[in-house]
Amino acid sequence: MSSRGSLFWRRIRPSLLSYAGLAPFLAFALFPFYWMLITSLKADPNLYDLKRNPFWFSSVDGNTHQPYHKDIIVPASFSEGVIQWKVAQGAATTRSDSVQNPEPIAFIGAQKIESPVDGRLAAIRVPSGKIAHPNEVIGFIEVASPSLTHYRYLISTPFYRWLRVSLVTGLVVMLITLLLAVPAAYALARLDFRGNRMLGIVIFLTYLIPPTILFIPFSQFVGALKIDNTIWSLILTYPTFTVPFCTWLLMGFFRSVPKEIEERALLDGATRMQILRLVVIPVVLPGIITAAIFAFTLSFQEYVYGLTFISSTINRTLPVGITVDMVRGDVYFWGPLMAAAVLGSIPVVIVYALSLDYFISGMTTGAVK
Amino acid sequence: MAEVVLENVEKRFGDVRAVAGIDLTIRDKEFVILVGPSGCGKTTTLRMIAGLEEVSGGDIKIAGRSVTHLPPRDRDIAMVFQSYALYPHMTVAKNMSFSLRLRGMPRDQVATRVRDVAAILGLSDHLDRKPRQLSGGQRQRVAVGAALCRQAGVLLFDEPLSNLDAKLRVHMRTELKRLHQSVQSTMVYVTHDQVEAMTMGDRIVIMNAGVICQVGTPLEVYDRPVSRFVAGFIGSPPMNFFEGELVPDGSGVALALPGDLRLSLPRPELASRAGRKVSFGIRPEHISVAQSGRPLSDLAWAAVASPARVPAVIEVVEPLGHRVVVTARGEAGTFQMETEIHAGVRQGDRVDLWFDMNRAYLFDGETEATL
Ligand SMILES: Nc1ncnc2c1ncn2[C@@H]1O[C@H](COP(=O)(O)OP(=O)(O)O)[C@@H](O)[C@H]1O
Ligand SMILES: [Mg+2]
Repeated sequence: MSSRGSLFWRRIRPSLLSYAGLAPFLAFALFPFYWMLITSLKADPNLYDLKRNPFWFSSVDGNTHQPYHKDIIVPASFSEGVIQWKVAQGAATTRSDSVQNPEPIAFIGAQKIESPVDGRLAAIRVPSGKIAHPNEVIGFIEVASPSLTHYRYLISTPFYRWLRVSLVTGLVVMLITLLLAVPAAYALARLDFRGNRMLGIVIFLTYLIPPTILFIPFSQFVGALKIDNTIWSLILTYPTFTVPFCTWLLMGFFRSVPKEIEERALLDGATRMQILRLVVIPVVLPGIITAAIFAFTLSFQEYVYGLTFISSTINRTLPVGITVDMVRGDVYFWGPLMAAAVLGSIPVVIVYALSLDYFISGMTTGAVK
Repeated sequence: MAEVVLENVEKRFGDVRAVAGIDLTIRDKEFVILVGPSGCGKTTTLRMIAGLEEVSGGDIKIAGRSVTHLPPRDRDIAMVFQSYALYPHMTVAKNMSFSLRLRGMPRDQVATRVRDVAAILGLSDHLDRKPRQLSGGQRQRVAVGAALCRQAGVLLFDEPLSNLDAKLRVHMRTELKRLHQSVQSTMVYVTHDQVEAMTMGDRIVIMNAGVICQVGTPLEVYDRPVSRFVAGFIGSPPMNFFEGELVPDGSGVALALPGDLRLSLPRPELASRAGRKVSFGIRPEHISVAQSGRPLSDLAWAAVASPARVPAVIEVVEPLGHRVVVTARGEAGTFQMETEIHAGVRQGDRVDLWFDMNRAYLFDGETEATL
């Protein structure tokens, strides 16, 4: 055990100083993610409590020094009646909008009272059998923070639909992009033909035209093809920016492959396709994976086309869905917004983590010299 | 049988004539060196033989068959690149066997072949390594090994040793020469280093500015250079040149050099050329500090018939071990000589140096051809 520990330290110690130097940058880069995460986990009263340390959670109100709680109020539209509690004092309650058929926590006559928040029924003001009036506070629920309440709320929204639309679009666009960009970049980087350089520049220029201009003519195409409001409108338009970008990116990678190793493969008896398959692609694999990740994340985060070509809530992409449905007027539902953002960034994190090993510099080390 | 024949082969890059119509026959199993200064078209010639560069004119035949328009893979050649050109993602074994596997050779045969070649090159312990885990010298061996595995009729080398350090270079030079004796391939070896050329090849092809100047064995090109260029290129330290004029001298002819120096030439047949401008060339090893040739123990000096006296001042003395290279200044100019370390010359000495006129060369002042 101790030898293991000392080995660990022997490995780590030389890099300790560089880690120390990197730490401020890491903190700077990670702060938005940290903020997103704690916001998504804060119960609403904690989130809007200005008296508390905003960088961490609190379960106690900064003004009253009481645990956060939410009053249970009889809706004004109700008529007065005898109350019948369905939940015992001290028991957990579930917010009604996070389940299909919410269990009422109390009845007033035949009228259902549902829990507005996740928490614990802390006190009952009007016990069972007594008369409850409209607008009367009949009890209150203690709200815990941190809590997963915003994540539960997402179930009641089309969040998972949006996530699926975005994932499918991202993956399909990634595939299309690789199929087009890999051969295109190889040809532009390696094959000698007329207008080679010019074509490379033109491809890059198309990438520079902003989507905010392109969406107008594109919406005409999308309309003409009758694919508006479907995922196809996105799958066909996203490659217009991923393909030029990835082609340009891959050209650099292909250019970094020493010409000699391709010539040697030619002498060794390989055909052009074999050279591409057995030599060039394996050598630039890190580059291809980088391009794939860019294609995926560029589509995953795209906004303008997603907003304009998809009109129904159910077919939206994640970024559009979140911002359109979780911001009503000038009211931002920060908790669910951030919860959705956290969940939405997980696929990207996974993609990056899986490919981390390939981001090694000097992939062609040892090929020449 | 893998004779390589170049017939009037030419290569143009736009307006640049990299190779200007060369004829060359490389015999089967011969070790031929293409040597010349940088940019003279050696690599281009080699690449045209390999098929990596299309010829602009002329014909290339390998083993009696015209390959001018065949793709590289149909020419039965292997090549070792200057930069080694190893596949970075493959192990040493896979690098060496790539061509065999492409041609569908059975796995056990491939393994045997790779093992044999690796043993010859001392790579047996590194077969599972990737190129980046190898030293420069080992990478170079892998490149050679990959070419040997092919058992191609023709092996091409493009300055394979130029990236190695001096010691390793000398070692690999010997090793490649030994290899040539054991493999049944014709070898064409490109270098700009005349020492490599002299030590390694059966025959040397000296190129300059896209043309072949001379083809011959190392001894032939050393003893009988056809032009001033070849004479200056072969030999280290290089031959000394003086610009002078032929003048009548009795029945024969003498050489007039700047500074009123007159050297009589043992070349009566040149009498008719009196009055011509010439370059006079003499190798450092044919200059001596004493008329008798002593204390040089050179046997060659014993046969000297006409040593010519040249007064000079010693400027630099560079010991190379048992020999020293001496830079001297005479009336006719600065020149270098090579002598024994115990000859006792010191910087600043005023001495009489003796040129062995039997070993001197004369080159026409205009055509630069050897007279
Ligand atoms: N691909 C090319 N395009 C244009 N010029 C070239 C090319 N390859 C070689 N050259 C020119 O041809 C001449 C000979 O080059 P090269 O055969 O590489 O010389 P060496 O190998 O003897 O140093 C040089 O002047 C070089 O600039
Ligand atoms: Mg060269």
